[in-house]
Formats: sequence, C-alpha cells, structure tokens
Amino acid sequence: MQQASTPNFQVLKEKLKILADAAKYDASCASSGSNRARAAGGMGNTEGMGICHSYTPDGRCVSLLKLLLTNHCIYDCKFCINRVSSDTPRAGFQPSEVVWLTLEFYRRNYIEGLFLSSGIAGSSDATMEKLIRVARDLRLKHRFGGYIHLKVVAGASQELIHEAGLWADRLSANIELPVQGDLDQLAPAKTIAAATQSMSQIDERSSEVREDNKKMRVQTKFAPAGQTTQMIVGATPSTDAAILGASEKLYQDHKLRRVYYSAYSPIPHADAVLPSEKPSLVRENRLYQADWLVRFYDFKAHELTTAEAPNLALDLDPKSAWALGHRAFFPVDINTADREALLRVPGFGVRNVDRLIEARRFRRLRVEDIRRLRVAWNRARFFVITADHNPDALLLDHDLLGNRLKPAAEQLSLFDLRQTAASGEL
Amino acid sequence: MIAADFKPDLEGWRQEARKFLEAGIEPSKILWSKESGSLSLFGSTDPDMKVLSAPGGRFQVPAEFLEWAQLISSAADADRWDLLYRILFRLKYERKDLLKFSVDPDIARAELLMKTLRRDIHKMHAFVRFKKTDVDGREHYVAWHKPEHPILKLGAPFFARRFGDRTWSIFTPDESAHWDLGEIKYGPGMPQHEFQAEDAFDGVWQTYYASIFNPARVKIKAMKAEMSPQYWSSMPETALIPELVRNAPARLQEMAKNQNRQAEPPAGASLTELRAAAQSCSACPIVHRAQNLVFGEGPESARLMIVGEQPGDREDQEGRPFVGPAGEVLDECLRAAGIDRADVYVTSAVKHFKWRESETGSKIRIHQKASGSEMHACKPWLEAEIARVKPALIVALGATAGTALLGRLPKVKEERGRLFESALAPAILLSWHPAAILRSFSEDERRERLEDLKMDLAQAQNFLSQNENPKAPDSCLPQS
Ligand code: SF4
Ligand code: SF4
Repeated sequence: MQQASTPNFQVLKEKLKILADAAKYDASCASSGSNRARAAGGMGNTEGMGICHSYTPDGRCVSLLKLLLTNHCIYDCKFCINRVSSDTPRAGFQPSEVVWLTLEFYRRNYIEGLFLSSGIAGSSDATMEKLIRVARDLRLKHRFGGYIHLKVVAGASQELIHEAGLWADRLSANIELPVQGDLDQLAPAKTIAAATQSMSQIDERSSEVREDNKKMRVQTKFAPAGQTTQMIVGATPSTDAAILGASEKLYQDHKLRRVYYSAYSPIPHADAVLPSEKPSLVRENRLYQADWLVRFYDFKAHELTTAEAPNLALDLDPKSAWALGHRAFFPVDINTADREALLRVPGFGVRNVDRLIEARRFRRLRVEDIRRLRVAWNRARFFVITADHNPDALLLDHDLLGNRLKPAAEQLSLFDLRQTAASGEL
Repeated sequence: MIAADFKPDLEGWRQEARKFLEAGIEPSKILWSKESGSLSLFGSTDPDMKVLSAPGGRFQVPAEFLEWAQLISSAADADRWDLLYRILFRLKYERKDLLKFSVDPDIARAELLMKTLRRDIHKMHAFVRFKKTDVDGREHYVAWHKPEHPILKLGAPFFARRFGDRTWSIFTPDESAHWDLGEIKYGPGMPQHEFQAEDAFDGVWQTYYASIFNPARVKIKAMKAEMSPQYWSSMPETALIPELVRNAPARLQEMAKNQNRQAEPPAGASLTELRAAAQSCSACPIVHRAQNLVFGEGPESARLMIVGEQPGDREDQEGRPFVGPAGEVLDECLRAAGIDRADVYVTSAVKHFKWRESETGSKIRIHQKASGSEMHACKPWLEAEIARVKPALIVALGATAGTALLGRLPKVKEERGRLFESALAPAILLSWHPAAILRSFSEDERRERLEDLKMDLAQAQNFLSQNENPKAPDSCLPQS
C-alpha cells in the first residue's frame, strides 16, 4: 500500500514550514464524532472520541495533520495571512504529497488523521477538486480509515460538496464573521449567504443519505462527524450578542456540531510577550463558555447578554454573570430542584448534575456529598441549598457577591483558560 | 485479621474475593496487601471477626462492577484490592445499585481511580510513537512507552484495531506487547536505554510540530497539564520545546515587524483633512523614496470614482494622479466616453511612487509594483476616500485596483466591462489600466484594449445617467 517513491524529506520540510504554519490559524482541531472500522488490509479507524497526540507550547492539541494544500490565494480577506495582498512566502503541495505525509504520520501514531484546507488559487471548484482528490485517494487507494476533515472552499459547487462528504468525516464551510456588514469590510468577496448555502447543502445531503440508508443494505457514509464552522472574533466591532446570536442560528438552521471562535490578533506589538493575558484571548474563551451553555445547558443566546451590556463580562464566566443578574432564581435546592434549574448553578457541570440526580435517590445530599463530586463549590455554595447548608441570604443579595465569584485577578489563569477553551466546559 | 493469599491479578483476586464474600467476611477483616497499611500488625486472624450470614438466593455481581474491577485491578495503587472488595461486599450486603451512588466515599474513590486509569490508557494511545524498522526486509514498527500504571494489556488492543495491517511491538519497562497480524502476545519489559530505534522520518514530524506552534500564545503550564514531562523522553517532538519557547519572543518581534501595518486615517475627516493626514503616513516603506504624496483628486460630489493602481514618475513629481503618459490615455478615453474629468474623483490604490534605480546607471526611476503588504497598508486611505465621496459607481482600472475593491484578484481580460455589486458602492466596474494599454505586446492588442477602456467608460457614463440615485446610500459604506 506504500507509494513507490519516497518523496524528498527536505523538500517536504520546506513546504510543511509554510503550509502547516499557514493552517495553524484555523481553530478547529477536533477529531471526534465519527466511527469507522479499519478496512481489511488498510490502516486506521476512528472510535468516537478523538485523541490529542501531542501538545505544542501554546497549549494546543495536535490531533490532525493540519495543512493547506496551497497558500496561494486570489482572495483578499484582510484578516488572513494568505490574502493576495500579503508578502507571506507561498508554497503548494501536490495532492500525492499530502496523501503520503498523512499515511506516514498516521502510521507512526502522530495523528488521528488529516485536516485539509486551501487557499483559493484559481477557481473555487478547481481547488475543491484537489482537496477531494487527496481524501478520495486516501480512502480508495490506501484504504485509510483515519479521520479526515475537509474544508469546503468558499463557492464550491454542490456536486463537489456531495463528493467531499463521501470521503470526509467532517466538513466545514467557514462563516468567517457573524454578519454581512463585517464581511463587507474585511472580506468583500465573501458572503454569509454563500457560506450558509454550503452548510445547507451539507445538511440536506446528510439527511438524504440517512434516509437512503434506512432502505439500503449497503450503508453510505456522508460526513458522519457532521459539519462545523469558524468565526473570527475581534476584527470587527460586532458584539458578543451578535456573535452568539449568529452561532445559535447556525446551530438551529444547519445542525452544526460546533462553531469555533478564533481571536483575531491584528499586530503583535512588541509588548505581546505575554499574549495569553490579552483581552482578545479571554474574550474568545468566554465565547466558548457561552456557546457551551447554549448547546448543553439549555440557555438561549439572548439570555447571556443584555441590551445595556451586549458583550460578555471578561472577568466573570457567563454562567456566574447570569446568576448574578438573576438572583431571585436562587437558591436552588439540590435535593428537589429539576435538572434545568441545577444546570444553571454556577460551578455545576452537566456530569455533576446528572450524578447528583442519581445520588439523591439514595438519600438527602449534604455539602460533603457535593464536594465529593468535585464541583466548583467555592462558586456553587452561594446558590444552593443542601440538607445541611443554606446560603447566606444576605450575601446572595449583596453587591459584593460578584467579587466573591470573580477569580482574583491573576487567577484568570492560563490553566483555567486553556481548560475551558479546549472543551468550552465550565 | 485474614491475610488474603492470591495471585495479584484480576483472576486471582476474584477467586479469593468470592471465597471471602461467600463466607460473609467483612472488608475490614481482610488484609489484601502488605503495603496497604499497618494492619498486618494484627496477625492473620481476628478473634472479633463478625461473620454476616449471606442473604438467601444467589448473589449476582452487576456487569458494570466487572468493568470497574478490570480497570481498577490494573492500578498501581496498593489499596485497589481492598477497595474492590469493599465495594463488592457492600453491593451484596448493602445495596445492589451502590455503583450509582457517586457521592459515597468508596464509589467516589473508585471513580477517581478509574478516571486516572482511563486517562493513562488514553495517554498511551496518544503518546506511543512508532518507529519504522526493517526486520528481514519486512516493515516492523516499534515503540517504547512508560505508562503511569501497568495498563499495557488494556491499552494495546487499540493499536491492533488501528494498525492491524502491519506488525508492531510496544515495550514498557515491565511488559511488552507484540502484534503478529493475528493476535497480541505479551512478553517481558525493557528499560528505555536498551530500546534503540532510529527513524529519519522523526525529523519531518518535528518540522511539522515546530511549524504549528503559535508563538503568540505561550502556555507551557497548559501544555504540561495535558502532556506531562514524564512522557517526553519517548516523544521526538518534545526535544524542540525548550528552543521553541526560548525563541518565541524573538519570533513575535519578527512577526510584529513583518506583520502588515495599515494606514490609520482619522475618523470622520473631510477629504482635505484626509489628504493632510496622508502627508505624514509612513505605514509602508515606499514613502521614504517618494517625493510627493499622490492623493485622490476631484469633487467630493463626484458620482463617478476612478481608481488606478499607483502613481508613476510624473505623478510623483507633481503630486497629482494620472498626469503622466497613462493619464493621457485615460483622458483620451474619458473624452471619448463623454465624461468630463472635472466631474470625476480620480485616485489610486497606492498613494506613493515605488521605484528602483535603472541598471544602466541612467537617472530614470524605474517603476516598481507595490508589494501585497504595501497595497494592504495603503487600503484604508482608499476606503476613507470612498466613504467620503460615496460614488454611485467606481471604475477600477487594472487588477490591483480591482483587488482592492472586489476583495479578490480579478482577471481583467475576462471580467472587465461587468458591473459588480459591492458594499462599497452601488456598482463597481472593472477595466484595463491605461499603463497596461501602453505596455501592450502588439499594436493590435493596444488598440483593442484602448477600445475596451473607451467602451467600459461609456458604459459607466450610461450607468450613471440611468441611475437616478445621485449618490450611494449611506448604508453601504464602510465606516473606517
Ligand atoms: S479565501 Fe481563505 S485563504 Fe484566501 S484570503 Fe480568504 S480566508 Fe485566506
Ligand atoms: S504608500 Fe500608502 S501606506 Fe505607504 S506610506 Fe504612502 S500613503 Fe502610507
């Protein structure tokens, strides 16, 4: 199954330097949500939860071989290093080189699979066809069962999207920015409508295939890990309310698995040596947390911001912020409250809540019981009643409660950020 | 006190535990492991031993508990057998749904332990690094990995599922696993210093690893939390970490230098103020060799805006757009289209002249095309002019102006003469740049392009006379 000739390592390294570097700004890295058994005589499988095979010193997970096929691009999206008006060094892979690299990386257990995107050199369809060729060769010629995430090139035709889904586990068409006005300023050749059209085509095709599969004996896979998208944050004045609203709509309309947020960093100034404390990164993290609340905690996007404060607080997680604004909702009795109410308690995660509901069938729960579930008790304690604890009603009404919930300034630690940014979980 | 006498693996424990359980011996009376406490001081029997009589009927261990036992038995923790028996005993004599009672100290401890073990197995799946070797002309892949707990047997089947088409071996200090295409065989372990395998491909992986690191986000603690240094010695990429971290500040500086700056026009300024502000622009290096700023020119009330590429030698000397040879061509075409240049706002995508010395030593300043980042740097001026003039139609001359206005590199030959929708203006029309006409290969081509430009400008004029809207509506303007 190996290719006859081994490409020159040195040449590949030079291309990797450019085309891996150029791909690293894409925030999506997950390799989860698919299930593919290894084909007879082939290599690779996917088993639900993806694996991070390494971590770079920026704290990010290395799960997929993330590459651009080429960083030549005729578009001029201002936020992108590959835009035509950029002096960045350019390079391009042959599809066969990407196939070879993927197989060699995978074989050594460096990666879960491939994430392939591309600058648009020439037409959208010509570019999309090349991405598809890589995926098709991996699946058909090499019987590769690892994870493949293909980017849907802006403006790619429906037929190509349909083919891409046959080979890829996941597809993603980038929305780039939350509203058309933002695109007009930064990426005038792109439209929300074109991106969402691609999303609809993916979604519709995947329903069709699902329906067909019910009738057929031979099952077809179409992007079994669904679709995602990416939004750049901080490059335009759009508020978090607008961003979260746009995301919520995308989740509803196109059944997206995930919206990725990527903090835009315009110019790293000389003072950028401690970038992890940059407000843009904190904001990115807050958006992930808020997004998580919408998807798993039954929050509506509009609940998380207000007309007066259309942006999420930077110094407080969005659930605590909501709780502070809705104190009459609390305290919640953990021995009687329903799941929805428990999910709104700051410091309680979905798993905590489900275990707590199981456990309270055994007996009335006390503080020590909850602490054993490893909830963030220092936050939760102001909001819950247990068999042996009633929060200080005065404190719940007190203005200073906000300060008690805020991590001390430096506690907005890298660790917190990294943890929640990776999962979005609070 | 009874000292358990069993082979310390799951099967051994099971047999022993079954005996104790049937006899109803309480967990506190059994010593499962010498390390697990000072209980051994009490000797092997306890006179106070309380034997509970087993409840009637057969006791069925929940299937879930067997899964737990399998995991927990692989833990390195000395109290694992004791914990398992305690839970087993309580399942029988207390509640058979005990496992769901997560807040119980035994259950919480078991869950924590299982979490640790699952994580250890997961990290093995993640961090094993195979090296390609040649065994009698056959590919064979080998790896050395040190898990925290002795979980090799739990972790190895994953590799058979994934890499079942090639033979491989995984060595740990205590045990090894060998896939022969049919089954996994287990053998003795190997210390790391005895494991010797080289793979030239590691270098390609390292290159990849170094290239995806973003020096603008250094988070060592976060990295170590997920990829503990205890694993590093068998992962080739980790050798680069110190250097990557050390060089991050320098690389950031470098990025800052290369990152494309942009001009910053004052917000809400009038055309005159914009021009004045642009006089002191130094957002890109072209300015240092130019004599004059060449800002746009024409009435603020203009309905037509024409955007060229960048000024030439004459423009630089006079500080006015389209006054050189290209300007003559433009004027000729405007006249032919019946457009009075005095009604038009004429400008260019880049506002300073870029040139180099002639190789022949003559005084002639050779025109040079602005680079991508220079165009990018200058673009805010053009946007500010558009926001001020609010033209009903913009004619982009050439690919550079086209790129600045359309957001992508257009093909002039194929796309000229078309009206594009845009947020910048109700319509954008693309045509040849006069300089491209002058540079034509042949006389035929020159004449053809000239006619094209005349035709396109006539179309522009036509559009303007049909379009009643005197100016662009405010809503579609960028507020830069
Ligand atoms: S199309 Fe994609 S690669 Fe090209 S400039 Fe826009 S964002 Fe960058
Ligand atoms: S060319 Fe444009 S960006 Fe560069 S210095 Fe001149 S006005 Fe500024």
